[in-house]
Amino acid sequence: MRHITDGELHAWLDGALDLLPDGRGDEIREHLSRCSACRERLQDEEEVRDRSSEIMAGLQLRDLELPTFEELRERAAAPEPGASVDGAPASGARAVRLGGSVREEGPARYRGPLKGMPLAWAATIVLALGVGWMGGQVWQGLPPAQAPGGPGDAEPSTDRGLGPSGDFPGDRMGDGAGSALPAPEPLGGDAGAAAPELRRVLDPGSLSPGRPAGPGVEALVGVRSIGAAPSLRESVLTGAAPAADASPWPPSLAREENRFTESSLAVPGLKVLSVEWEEWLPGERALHIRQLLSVGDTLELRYLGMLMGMEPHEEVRIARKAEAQDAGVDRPLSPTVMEASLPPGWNQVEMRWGRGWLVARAPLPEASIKALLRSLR
Amino acid sequence: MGVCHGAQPAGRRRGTKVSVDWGEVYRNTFEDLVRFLHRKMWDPERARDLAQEVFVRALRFEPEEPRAWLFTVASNLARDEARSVLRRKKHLALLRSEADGGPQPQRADEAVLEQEEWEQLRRALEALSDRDREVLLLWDAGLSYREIAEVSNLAPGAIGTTLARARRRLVEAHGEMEKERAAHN
Repeated sequence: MRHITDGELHAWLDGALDLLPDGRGDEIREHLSRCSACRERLQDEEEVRDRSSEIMAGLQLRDLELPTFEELRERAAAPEPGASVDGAPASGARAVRLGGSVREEGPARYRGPLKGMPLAWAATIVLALGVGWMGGQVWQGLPPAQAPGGPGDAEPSTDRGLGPSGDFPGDRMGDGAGSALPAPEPLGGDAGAAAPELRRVLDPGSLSPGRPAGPGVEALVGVRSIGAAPSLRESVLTGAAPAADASPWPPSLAREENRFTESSLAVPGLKVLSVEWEEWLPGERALHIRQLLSVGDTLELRYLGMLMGMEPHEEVRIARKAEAQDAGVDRPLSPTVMEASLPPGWNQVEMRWGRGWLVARAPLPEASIKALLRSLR
Repeated sequence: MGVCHGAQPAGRRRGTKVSVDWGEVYRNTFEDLVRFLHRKMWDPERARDLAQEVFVRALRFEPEEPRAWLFTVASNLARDEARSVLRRKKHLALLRSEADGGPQPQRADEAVLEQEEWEQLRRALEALSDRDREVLLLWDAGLSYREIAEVSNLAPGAIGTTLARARRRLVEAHGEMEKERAAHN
């Protein structure tokens, strides 16, 4: 009979010989009774095993307050975050209410990377970013005479350090028509009154505490979504559908507006775990949204080429790069870097998203990831 | 990009209800779960929070094999955490500032010593391959070979081999660091 392997010796030491296949456990017991060499090795391996256990047990977590079983059971009995009260799948717009239930769970709740920021706010940001971003396409489609805005509301543009015309670098990225249009500006009245609240929520500094606050998020979301459509802004804040008669758009565009309201950068029905900025490569900043799939797996969505939270000169550079991408010349390198780090069993799907790119990763087949992404549009 | 799935825990079968004493599961498993997560993430509070999240999900899902399910889900979540570049940086910062924000030993020199030991353990574990480390941490958390096999998708007969390799490498790496530390002092 052959000698015993190190692995088999450890199985012996761990009391798991019976798990070995084909009666190998009995063979090992018999072999050990008559092979002194293997018995010596067994002693060596026992020392390794004991020393390893000693190292692992050397330090204990101390003074860490753990929740009681009753607290966990109570939390499990509470309405599940990510599902609505009536059992229907949650949409991005409902996340505000659902996040509220999370907030009520007290100090025991799971805290994402935006510590101190309830996930409802994060979901609001996701929705608001989506509305603000995609809203740009509406403005581009508006004839100049119908573009909302008043002459006295150009302040946010100057906040960003842009030129007196108030145009956005993002408008330069498109087909050229955008730059010929006047920049969307706040309607004034209640829209202006609500702006500070969104600005507080969308302060880039609150998204990423370690990063100096930049004007991009405020400009793109605070100005575009609030200023262009009060009803849209209302829906972002409350999660409610905007009133049909409140739309400032012509009928055809009002339909588009509703579509944007229902859109989200997060997949509807999946709990948003975190929203954060990432930079895999210099100059290629991505908005990273993590959502919970079943059994603890996660869906990662990364939006590249979003001109938010950057310095103005950086935005212009990225905008020019995006123009080149439109022509099919360039492509961000980050997806390639991300793909190289894919863990076993994970797949990555890339697609154009507006003027940028969406990179989705999950431990799912590509077809399943694509099916999830279809619900974003 | 291959198409395959990671380890999936045994879920609840339709129509069958397995009676599980979840209070018992909590008593026997929760601390191990926190410990397991802590040694993957090196952030005690985050490990505790994630363990809570996993356990609450288990209470809702009621898996047939609670321990294997808990550790599979915990492992998936921790793996996802580890992939986040920004968060990894934050964890390192937390590790550096643990003496300021975490549990406070009474004496400053004790705090430094403890922090050095944590760092040494972390580095020793990092010397292992991902799979070896995972199996060793699961064993350390009290899982049986059969449970480890289920969580790690390894054959039960391969667990001993993996553990033997992981233990030896851990002891070697830790020993090298001890020597370095002694030479440094």
